[in-house]
Amino acid sequence: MKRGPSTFNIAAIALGMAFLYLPILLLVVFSFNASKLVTVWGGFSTRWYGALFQDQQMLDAIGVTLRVGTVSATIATVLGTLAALALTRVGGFRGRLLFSGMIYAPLVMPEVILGLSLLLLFVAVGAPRGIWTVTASHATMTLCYAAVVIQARLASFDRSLEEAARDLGRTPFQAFFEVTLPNIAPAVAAAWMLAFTLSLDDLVIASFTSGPGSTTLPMRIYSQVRLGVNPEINAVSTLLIGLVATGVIAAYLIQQRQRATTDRV
Amino acid sequence: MTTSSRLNIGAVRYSFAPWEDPAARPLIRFDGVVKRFGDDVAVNGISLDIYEKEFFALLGPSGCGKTTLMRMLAGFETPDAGTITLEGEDILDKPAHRRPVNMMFQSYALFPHLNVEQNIAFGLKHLPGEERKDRVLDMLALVRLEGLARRKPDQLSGGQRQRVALARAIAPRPRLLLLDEPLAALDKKLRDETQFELVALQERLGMTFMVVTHDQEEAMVMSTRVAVMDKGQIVQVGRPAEVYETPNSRYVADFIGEVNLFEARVTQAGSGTLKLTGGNCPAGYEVREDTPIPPGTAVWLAVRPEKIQVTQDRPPAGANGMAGKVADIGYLGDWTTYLVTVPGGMTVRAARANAARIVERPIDWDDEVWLTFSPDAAVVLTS
Repeated sequence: MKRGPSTFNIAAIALGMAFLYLPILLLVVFSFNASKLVTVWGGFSTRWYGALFQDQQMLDAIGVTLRVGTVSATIATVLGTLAALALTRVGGFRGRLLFSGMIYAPLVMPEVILGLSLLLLFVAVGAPRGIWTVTASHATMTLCYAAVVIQARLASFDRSLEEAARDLGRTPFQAFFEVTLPNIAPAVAAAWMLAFTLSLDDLVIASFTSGPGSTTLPMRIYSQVRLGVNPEINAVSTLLIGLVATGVIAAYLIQQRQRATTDRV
Repeated sequence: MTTSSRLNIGAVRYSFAPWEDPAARPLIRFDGVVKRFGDDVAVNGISLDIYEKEFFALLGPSGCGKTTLMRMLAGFETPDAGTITLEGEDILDKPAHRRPVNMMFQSYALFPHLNVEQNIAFGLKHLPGEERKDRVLDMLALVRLEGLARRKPDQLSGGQRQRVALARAIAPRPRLLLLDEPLAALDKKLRDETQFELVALQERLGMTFMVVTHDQEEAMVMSTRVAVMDKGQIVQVGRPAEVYETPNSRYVADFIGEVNLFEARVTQAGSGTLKLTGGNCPAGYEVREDTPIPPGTAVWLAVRPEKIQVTQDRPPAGANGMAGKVADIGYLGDWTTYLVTVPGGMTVRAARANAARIVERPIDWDDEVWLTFSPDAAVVLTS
């Protein structure tokens, strides 16, 4: 029997990887281009990164994005934890299936529809569009992801730990904060990272729900690109890629470490 | 369950028997406790008294309701009917965290994010700092884990974890300690040692222990009294020796230890002796029994394997003697078990202590042997 990957396999993997990452690589490389022309290499330079930090509009957009990301990820994590608790702990309440279905629906819902429906809601209740409507919308969008991550951890959590805490004089509320939360903390952190990352790179929902003064970074990039690509866009995109990649890898590593410790016990 | 005058069973601490004292007040009283899960009745009307300083064992197969009974005491389940009182006070309206009852979990449930010391101190939040420190040190010394105070649970062996779990449950000095299958996760050798350690510890602390187990040896070795459970009900309560030597039903006889059950019919009753006939013993049975049973009643005779003598020579003719053929031999080192086929096709289990190293005429497969037991050895069971 033939062992190891065949030539065909190697070629397939190489092509696949190139297909996925070559554009990104190109973008990163050209962000260090000295030339003003996007597609012509004019030597190595970090001038566009310098220019980026002079561009007040771009800096504002970064600020909005970070604030929206932080707040919406926090809201989504808190609500996601509660939803996950309800789904793993409260066995068989009325409408449990419906509830879990509704929690996970945004995972597969087209973003355009989610964005549009949120916009309609905000218009209907007369909420002025701005940074808070974007934040609320992102929390809605990322809640289900947070719930999935935390629910997976809670499912393998030994409930007798909580009972032991109650047995030793803690109210159910105290038991949760002193025993359950410290033990599911890595999953909670991973959920937060994931929610934050998703919020960072969302364009569609932000476009629907933002108002004046709440332009997020992806929106800013998109509108600039329509006027013509300049190397500054490449620079800011490279930073965004770096941030998102860090977030995803951190979330993954935290979960891996958690798995390693639970396996040992 | 009282001990009849002629039966002097076992060598267990006889002086301690608060359950025989009508003036004694129980520490825990279950009264008509019922618990259902959906259509399943887990606990079906249990009334039971447990006294101070007892080491009480709930013994039964899995699914018999013993764990549910214990969890109701700890406050993790609420009975559907009946009451549970502790020192005469109803504890059912108290939540788990306000009951003076602690539990050692089967999985140990040690907090993985806390070290040994912090685990033990977890239930001592109410104590001032100095006292808490002293108590933790006492507990560490008690379970001989002084050097491991800073270890996390995942850095401990199974036996060490078991001791941390025990120390943590004892530390708040509960009125009652519940132990859920405390030795199930240990290997045989460690289990044997730990059984005796637990008893010594319980006597030293003067604490009341209630243990749930499916392992009869564990229950017999450790407890002052055993309650044998089946299908949500208590079948028999008594000292380990009482339950073993005078089981009140075939279920108990069969569940605790090995037993041979001979079907028989009473032919003659009088002055403490019953004469019976049965298919397995053409010579007829003769059994000592104080309770009068009318002739004609169908009963079972329960005889433990170690109370049946196996001989190669024909014993003097009389009751309780059966000829048979050795079908199988199990050599256990300290004991040898013989499976002997007797008239009626029944296979009788007889055990013999291997007191001598060398036997001149060892019993072999297919040997013709004689089985006898004394009139004292058999228990007459009507249910």
